[in-house]
Amino acid sequence: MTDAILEVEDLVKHFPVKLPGIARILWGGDLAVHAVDGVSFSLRPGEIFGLVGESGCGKTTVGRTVLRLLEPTAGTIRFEGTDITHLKEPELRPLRKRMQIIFQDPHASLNPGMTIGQSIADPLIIHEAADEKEAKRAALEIMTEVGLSPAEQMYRKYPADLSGGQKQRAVIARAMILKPQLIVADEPVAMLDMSIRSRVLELMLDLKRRYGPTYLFITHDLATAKFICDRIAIMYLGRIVEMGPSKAIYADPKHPYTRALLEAVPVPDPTRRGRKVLPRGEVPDAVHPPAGCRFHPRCPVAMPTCGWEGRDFVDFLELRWLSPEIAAAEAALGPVDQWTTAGLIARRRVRDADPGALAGQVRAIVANVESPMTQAIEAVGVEDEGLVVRFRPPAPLQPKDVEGRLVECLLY
Amino acid sequence: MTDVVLEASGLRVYYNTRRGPVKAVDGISFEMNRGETLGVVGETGCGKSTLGKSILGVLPPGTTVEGELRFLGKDLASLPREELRKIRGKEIALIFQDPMTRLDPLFTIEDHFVETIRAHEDVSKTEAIERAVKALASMGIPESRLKHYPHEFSGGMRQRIMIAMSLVMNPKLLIADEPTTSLDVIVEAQILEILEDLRRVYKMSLVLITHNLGIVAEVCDRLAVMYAGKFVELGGVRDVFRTPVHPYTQALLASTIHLESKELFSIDGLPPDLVDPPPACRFHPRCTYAQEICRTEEPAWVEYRPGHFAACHFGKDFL
Amino acid sequence: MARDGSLLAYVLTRILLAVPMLLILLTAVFIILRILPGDPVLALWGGRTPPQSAIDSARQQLGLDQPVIVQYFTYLRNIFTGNFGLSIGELYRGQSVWNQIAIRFPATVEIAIGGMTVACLVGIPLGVLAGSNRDKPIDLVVRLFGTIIWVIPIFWLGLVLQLVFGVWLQWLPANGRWSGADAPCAAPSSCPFRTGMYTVDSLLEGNLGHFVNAVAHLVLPSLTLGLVLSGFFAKTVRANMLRTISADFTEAARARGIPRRAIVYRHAFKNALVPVVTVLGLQFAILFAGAVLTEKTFSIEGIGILLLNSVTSKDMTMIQGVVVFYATVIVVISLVIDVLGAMIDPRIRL
Repeated sequence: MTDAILEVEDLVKHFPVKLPGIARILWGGDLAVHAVDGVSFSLRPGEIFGLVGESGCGKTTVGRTVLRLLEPTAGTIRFEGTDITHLKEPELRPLRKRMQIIFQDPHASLNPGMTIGQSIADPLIIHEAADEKEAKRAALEIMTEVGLSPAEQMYRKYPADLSGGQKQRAVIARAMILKPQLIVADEPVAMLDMSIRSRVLELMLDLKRRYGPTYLFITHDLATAKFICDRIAIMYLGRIVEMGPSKAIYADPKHPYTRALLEAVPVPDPTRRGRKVLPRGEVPDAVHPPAGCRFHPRCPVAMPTCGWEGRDFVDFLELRWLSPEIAAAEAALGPVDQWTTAGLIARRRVRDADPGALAGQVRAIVANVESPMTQAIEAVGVEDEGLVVRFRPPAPLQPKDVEGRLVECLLY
Repeated sequence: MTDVVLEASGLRVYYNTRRGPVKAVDGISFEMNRGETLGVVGETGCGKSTLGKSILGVLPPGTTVEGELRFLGKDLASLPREELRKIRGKEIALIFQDPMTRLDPLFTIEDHFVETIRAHEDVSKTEAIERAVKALASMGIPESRLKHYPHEFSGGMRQRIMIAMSLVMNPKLLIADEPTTSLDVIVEAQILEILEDLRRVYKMSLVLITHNLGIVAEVCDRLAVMYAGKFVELGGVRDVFRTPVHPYTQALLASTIHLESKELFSIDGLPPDLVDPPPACRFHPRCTYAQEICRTEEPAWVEYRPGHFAACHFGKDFL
Repeated sequence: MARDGSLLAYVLTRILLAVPMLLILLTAVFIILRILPGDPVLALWGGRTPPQSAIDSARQQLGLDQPVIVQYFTYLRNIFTGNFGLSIGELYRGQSVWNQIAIRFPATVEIAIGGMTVACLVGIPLGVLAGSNRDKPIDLVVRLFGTIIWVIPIFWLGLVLQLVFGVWLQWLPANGRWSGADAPCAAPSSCPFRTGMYTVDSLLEGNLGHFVNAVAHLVLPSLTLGLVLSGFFAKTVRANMLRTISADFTEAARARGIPRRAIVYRHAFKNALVPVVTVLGLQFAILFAGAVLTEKTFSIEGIGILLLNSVTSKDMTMIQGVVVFYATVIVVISLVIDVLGAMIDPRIRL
């Protein structure tokens, strides 16, 4: 494993939620967005490794943290065998030459005050790898290679004179001019029109054939990832849920979330329409990620052991009461904001009713609704004059080797 | 009683700028039937969003609009301003690409609903709220969130709120301008199913403006391909996907990267500047089949199969 | 999270944050006044060189012989107990600084509020009209008005108004705060308490004639100050209206068939107000420092004149008093601005 270009182990990145000092004292405790919460993977030389997931899953944060553009909260990052997790900036500088990043927005990535040529030659000068004359020659050369020709003429143009596709080529040229070992490409084609996306992807493949860099390719687009990546990792709420060779995963996805993603992608073939089985709702807030498997509240094949907790019960009531009849019949239990939750417990304070009777009503609902959530309830009872719904703790969850890929799911 | 909901003929929309008029929509004609979904597909800047806005008459001041737009037989251009306002939101509704910025940040969801309903009907606030609760519940948003502000919702929820708000007046025509582009794929699929249901249950007609051919294939009955302010092809979705007539449609289909793509394909060149578009066939500078006639003569709008039109001099060669 | 309490929580947090802000401001005032050139003790003698013993005793009296840190804490203690000391300038020597401020501040408050009212009543509607009718004649007229009124020297406008309404037409008094002998509430028994603002005091007395008298004196200075500011207000409101009237959500509101009136006044105007409140509020705060030129033109003894006089006579205790007082006013006003902003815009709340 030591021949890996990049090795990431148990990477964690939390962003503290910005509360003014006094608010923090008043409300107590620090909140944090759990953007990346224990992610491990390694990149083999010359491969294209895809990090795939929806917005907010932490893929962009991973990309920036492995380049130390963001400081990791915990974990280790090794680049070409060197532990760079805690390297200071001066020690990191010589390594930075060998790892580059391509951002999503080509319009914002180029300095509008510099010509395209200057921008592309700039990394050589910053890293003192060439004098100005050599840098210019190298820039002209790479510009021809990425299709910014005639290079002499394009060299003098400003970003404002270029189309989106041309700008992204310039950004790629700037990343490639140092002939880096690792390129983190963060949604490099997401902002481009369909008709020119292919050209930029082809360029990236072409440069790889020629110079053999390793790509960490970050995208939300499963089709692009399938086309370009050798291996992929599917991320959900800061965790990798499935990781392995693209071929295997696309042919036979194992994690319910991977399946859901692939099912949801629209197919450009009107003869193959059909009702889709989609997960409910949206990705939850990363400040309070769900317990157990983070996908469990939306999972179509969830089990009682997947991590059900107090707030799942409250969400269940909220959905249930969308129907006015049921809401009226169960008015004594509502409204939803009378419920508080803490971990495995959901609690409702009862003032002017008999808590025992309410507990009976909840038990009846739980008995009538058969779902993994209700099956995970350990007890419904009365504690300190309040109604309490208590869940069983979830089963421990670990990534497992399933048919040549890692899957983090209790099904296996 | 005809089943035609909307009829456009020779529609032109020019934005007047310092560089001259931007011909965003330049001579478009089509019809829409009750309960039908028409997909309008094109790349950035082809004028597809302008087309949607022109149907509602919500273009910026100083825009030139020519041609005829008939909604249920009424000529929209000849209607007084107040009449037109009453049609907007009640008979024709529009939902936008970016639900994040389309709700007023200073007003609660309840305020938005009450305002919309009372702009069209003389009902009490209580009744308006009741209807809002029902519409939101049908989109899976609980009553407890009525008093929340837009920034307290996720993107998918905001789009469901926007749909609920256009639904509450039970419009006959819904125009959806890239309704899922800013959303993730699972939420996108959820929203598309909602739109599909709306059409089935309420017999609503839907104009779906998008750059994503996959979406068109999944929800539309007919498809119009737009390039540089003009329709280049229009027909049933199955027909157009199976035998695309216009070279631009062919190229667009080939360049779409989907889960079964075998190779990468891209269209050379850039979309034209709509202040000064190429003469005759506007696609000719980028077309691999272009001949002399494509530069000099505007191709006719020919019906190649029943209901399948295209504007290409060599259309029959591709059948 | 606790939704209903969010505005209240915001206000409480904001008040708590105002305390350190005030402390920082007071500290800054202390430091600046001590590093400024010019010895206040020498200024006591108006340029003549006093005997060393007199200097020493004056220093002792003012506490300047103490270590700086002791001076600092004495300074803070005095401020929080309302003891601003005695004036050492030529003009007000020996008088209580606090009394001088208390006498003059009400006059400043009256013209600040009067000017602000005129500026808002004239400037905001003009800005809304111009912003919602971009490039139409009314817009051009408002822009022209805004530019011209903003460049007119304030004392010139004041003099013209005095001449027209005070001298020629004789509709309004041309200067001062009061005509006649006794100011309102002069006799302690006639009012429950006294504010020093003649408009309020005359109402406390229940004397309508006095009230008319006080308001009549306020009209010209308020108009002068207000008109000049209204140009700036109109421009600020217009610029923000242009932004909000072409915003995505206003377009969406049009698409929902909301009448134009509601779009302009409910949506565009309310959203334009968010930044406008901050700008106008700060302008209001500046008015409290005293509109020196207006006060001079209309011979009103306000804070502006007091500060001007004490600066020219190097009256360090008086300057310190006025600046500290002003710092407090600024902190309070910016608190009010922030709370107003949070009331309009829910996103500002926590």
